[in-house]
Amino acid sequence: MSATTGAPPVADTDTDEMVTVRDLDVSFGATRVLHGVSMSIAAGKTVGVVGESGSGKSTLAKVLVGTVRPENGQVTVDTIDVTRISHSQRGAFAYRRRVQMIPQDPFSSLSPRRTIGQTLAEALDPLHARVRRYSETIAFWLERVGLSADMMARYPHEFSGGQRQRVAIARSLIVEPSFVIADEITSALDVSVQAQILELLAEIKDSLGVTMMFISHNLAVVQNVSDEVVVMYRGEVVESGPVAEIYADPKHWYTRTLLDADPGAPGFTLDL
Amino acid sequence: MHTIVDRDDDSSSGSATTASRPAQAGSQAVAASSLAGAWRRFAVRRLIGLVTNIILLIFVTFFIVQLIPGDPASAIAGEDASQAQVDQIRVELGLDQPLLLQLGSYVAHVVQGDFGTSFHYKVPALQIVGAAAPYTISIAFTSLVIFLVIGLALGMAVGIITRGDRHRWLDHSFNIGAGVVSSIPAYVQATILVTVFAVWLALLPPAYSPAYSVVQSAILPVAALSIGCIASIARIVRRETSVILEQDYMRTARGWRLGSGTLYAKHMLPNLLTTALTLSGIILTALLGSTLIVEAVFAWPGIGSVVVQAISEYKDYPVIRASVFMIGTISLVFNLLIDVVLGLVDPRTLGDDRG
Amino acid sequence: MLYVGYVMFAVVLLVAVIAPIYYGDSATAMTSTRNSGPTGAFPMGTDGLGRDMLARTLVATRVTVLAAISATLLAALAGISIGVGVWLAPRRVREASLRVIEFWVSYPAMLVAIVVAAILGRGILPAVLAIAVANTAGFARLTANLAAGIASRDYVVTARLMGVPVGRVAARHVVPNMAEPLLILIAQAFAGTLVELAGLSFIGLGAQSPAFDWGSLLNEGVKKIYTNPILVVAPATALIFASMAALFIGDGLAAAANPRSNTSRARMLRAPVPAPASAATPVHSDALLVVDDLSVRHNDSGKELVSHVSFTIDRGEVLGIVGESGSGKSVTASVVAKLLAEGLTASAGRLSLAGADLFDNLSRKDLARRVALVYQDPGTALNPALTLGSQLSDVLVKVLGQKRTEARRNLVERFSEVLLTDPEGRLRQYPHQLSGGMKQRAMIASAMSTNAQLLVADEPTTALDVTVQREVLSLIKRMNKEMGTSVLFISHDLGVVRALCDRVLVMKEGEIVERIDDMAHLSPESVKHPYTRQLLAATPVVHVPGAVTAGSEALR
Repeated sequence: MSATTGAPPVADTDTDEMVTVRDLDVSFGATRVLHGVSMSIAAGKTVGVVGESGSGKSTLAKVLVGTVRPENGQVTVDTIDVTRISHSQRGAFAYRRRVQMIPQDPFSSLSPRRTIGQTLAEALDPLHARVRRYSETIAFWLERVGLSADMMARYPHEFSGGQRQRVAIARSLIVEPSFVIADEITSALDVSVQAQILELLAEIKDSLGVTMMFISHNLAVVQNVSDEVVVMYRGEVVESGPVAEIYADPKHWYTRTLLDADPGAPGFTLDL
Repeated sequence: MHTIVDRDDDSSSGSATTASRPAQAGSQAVAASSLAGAWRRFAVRRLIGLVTNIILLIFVTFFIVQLIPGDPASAIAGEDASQAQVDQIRVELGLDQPLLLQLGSYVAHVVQGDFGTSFHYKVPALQIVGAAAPYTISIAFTSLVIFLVIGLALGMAVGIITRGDRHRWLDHSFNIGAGVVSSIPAYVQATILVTVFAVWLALLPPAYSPAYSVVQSAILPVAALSIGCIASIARIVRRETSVILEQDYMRTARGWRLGSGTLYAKHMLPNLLTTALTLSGIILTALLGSTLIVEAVFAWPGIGSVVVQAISEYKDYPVIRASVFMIGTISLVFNLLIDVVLGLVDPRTLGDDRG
Repeated sequence: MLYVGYVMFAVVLLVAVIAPIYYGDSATAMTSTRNSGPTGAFPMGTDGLGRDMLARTLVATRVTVLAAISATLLAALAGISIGVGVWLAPRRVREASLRVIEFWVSYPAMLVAIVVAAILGRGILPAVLAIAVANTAGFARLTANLAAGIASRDYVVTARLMGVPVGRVAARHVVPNMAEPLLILIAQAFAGTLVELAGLSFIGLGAQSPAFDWGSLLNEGVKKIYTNPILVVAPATALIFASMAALFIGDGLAAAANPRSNTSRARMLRAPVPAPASAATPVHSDALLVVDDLSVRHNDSGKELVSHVSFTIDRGEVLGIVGESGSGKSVTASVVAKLLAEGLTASAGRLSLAGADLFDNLSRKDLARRVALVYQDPGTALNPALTLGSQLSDVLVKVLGQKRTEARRNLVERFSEVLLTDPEGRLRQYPHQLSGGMKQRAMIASAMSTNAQLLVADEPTTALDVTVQREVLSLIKRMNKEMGTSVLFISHDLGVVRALCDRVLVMKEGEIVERIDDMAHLSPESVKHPYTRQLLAATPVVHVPGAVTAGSEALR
């Protein structure tokens, strides 16, 4: 379990892109959910995806993990063409282990009938899920996310929401993925717990060099953990770029509206 | 937009992201759809459902004969039938032809209302079943109305009186009482009713007989069918009442300081009706089943008596087919009726894809 | 109840095992005492062949119970396999199968059983098969529904993404997590099976002579009900007893699966001894709400949810209460609104709102004039079965005594004030036709329409998007400014609270740990309590760099 998860030390050019999305269209029936979405994530970087309900940000995540098939467009993760993988079972299996998703709801992300150890063992070995064989790795990762190794034998109901999210983070990282998607993982938590989880993520990102997509409706949260930000509105990317640039000088009216709607932002007013 | 998306996206990928957050853009699409449109779509969908179910019913009734183990014709004719009789049955049921041809000619006849001629009565099977159907429908429908009205009132009253654990003794005795009553099979209740009201008190006729008016003879069968259902629905309604009383919108209504009349009759009842009616479909199905047996206790000349006789005494397969088709259709129509009432009470249910 | 069921069921099983051994002979022995009424030798009478009805009933227990158990288990096994199989199947197969199951379930089990009996003939074995076939559908449907529900849970989705084969997902995650409801259904199905099997025998499609079960015994009894009514007593009692045993077990299991907390009713008590003067906040003349030394206790556990809280709200003031879940902020709000939840007891030295003592029996009209409420989740706070106009006008018409047309006009006006388009049309709509933001605006319009002096807003923006949150906050602010409504604003988000409120109380574990009066200069330095500082630090705030400079280029 080394601290370098196969990521190059510094990513400074566009050739080191881990994720590339080009002209992505997704429709469900007559409803167009994503339209002409393009974005890229450099290896070792975190991109925050911001948008409100209906912006299509969760659908984008589903396309990236391969559960939603795009209508048009190119999606490449770690040099694998995501639009093609579903054809071969083996390819899909290998791909899915390279891309991990941390779900939003801490109360539904862990099976209530399985111990934390069993859940993590399943991530390591989907077929047999033997806890004993992997107990060292599991213990390492539990401690890595700020829990203790003896929690392995416990069931999810014995944990708080924040602790469950830590387990979910451990589960996603334990397979040493190339790319992690965190989908609103703090929106169900109290602010102080949220702060701890964000701190953990930032620390892991720095020490492990994980490439991550951080989805949130909260601009302030995104700013905390991201290098770049992508703003989505009604299925389209309206603006993207380095965090500092976008937050200081938003070009699109929607980004400006979003920024001004944050109660802590200078542009915030309560006038209608 | 998200909610719509997730509804359409029926793959096993979950909708956890939308669970806690309300739809924003999606509401516009919803708002645009009018109530009349919802009813129209409901009618179209249910009509298609009805036709599909009737087609399935026709298939099921067709295979009743074909699935009889061994040679259906000789099984139907019985052990001491002559070869000639067996052959006659074979020809009458079309069993001498290839299966697809049998099916084709069966469907063609059934569409014209022809289930064949009764072996025993030598008249069209549908005629026999048609004569019996009104008897079954009348007691089943009366019981349906009675169990819904009384069960709802009873469950709601108990639910309100025992809210927030008031009057625990009532809660307990209601639970046990309703549990005991609903666990007694309808035909045993029918037997008890006959013993008490016909044998002991001699108030009502013990069985159907032309000597009494239909209404008089119907009282005991209807009672036997309703009592258990009342207990079942009252139990459900009582539980649902306590659930609804804890809903946010009831808290909102209390926040508006509405009086108990408005609170219960206007804000709770429609939601309660939705649950009660939804579940009454299931209870109704059970009730129709009980009807078939209860008819035997009271010698009630309904389809139950016809089909049981046709199976156990005459092996009268045309009549069996017609009866099964008729009971199935009654079940379908009653369920549709409940859903229409449900739609009137709570238009949201029009969108549900049930049945 | 569960244990009563177990004991009753054990009795049934014991009889099923023992009775044929001890009474097997007397059950079939023909005596000369035919059609006897209850006597010492034959307490339950004898049948037409002089056989002891009591012995026959006891002996029949084995056949009846064995048949019911086999039919139930057959149905459960087949149904659960079909249900899981349907869930595992490709989408088209799954949908078609679900249709067939729906069809299957929508017919009376008795009818299905009759069809099977028509195919297989009469007898106890065909009857068992018939009932099993009929009940399989119920199991299949429940299993498929449960599996679909569990399949959408994140842990199943994640496991599949991890590459766990679908069969293992079913065995590890799906089936174990539906054990409880299935067990309940098995108990209920057993009761149903018992009744249906006996029913089939009763109408002559089940056990055939010389075999006998409770149903056929009952049938014999009913035929002689005029001449010898005692004959029905034994089989009827046996049937009732056994099906009640199964029902009690089913109900008991269901109750154990969904424990409902036993709560007693809410009470509000005036503190017996007036609070010491030191704890009381000085009350200014224009205080609208005075809460002095409020404590709220959970009746059963005795746990204090709110401890000795005192505060006031002036006329026209917006007071915020901030805290995390479990801090007691919402409970405090519910006391102020006189809507304390069941099972809680509140006591206070003083609780007065606009000159009225909240401990008194205030009329509904007096309360509605004083307090209006806006809740956290606009999705559930409105009654789904009523149109907006119908439910929002109730308080105006039935409590405040306005005329229906007047109330309607009032609401239309308020709807346009909260910027709802087509106010007339909105009144005719149902809540599900509106978005979350619109619903929350409608709730605010309702609060405005009653002209209440205090608005209690309990986390009104938590469930909303940030842009909608801003609109809702603006509306509350406007209500405060233009109508002079005082506001008690509850939130977990210090950022939101600081944008709206004049003063803020910070609550932690039922106590007020800090009072912030100067909102304009709120900073980690200006607050005293470490918890407040921690909250401030944890509250995510957008940092906007001064300008785009070369510095931000360097970040890239």
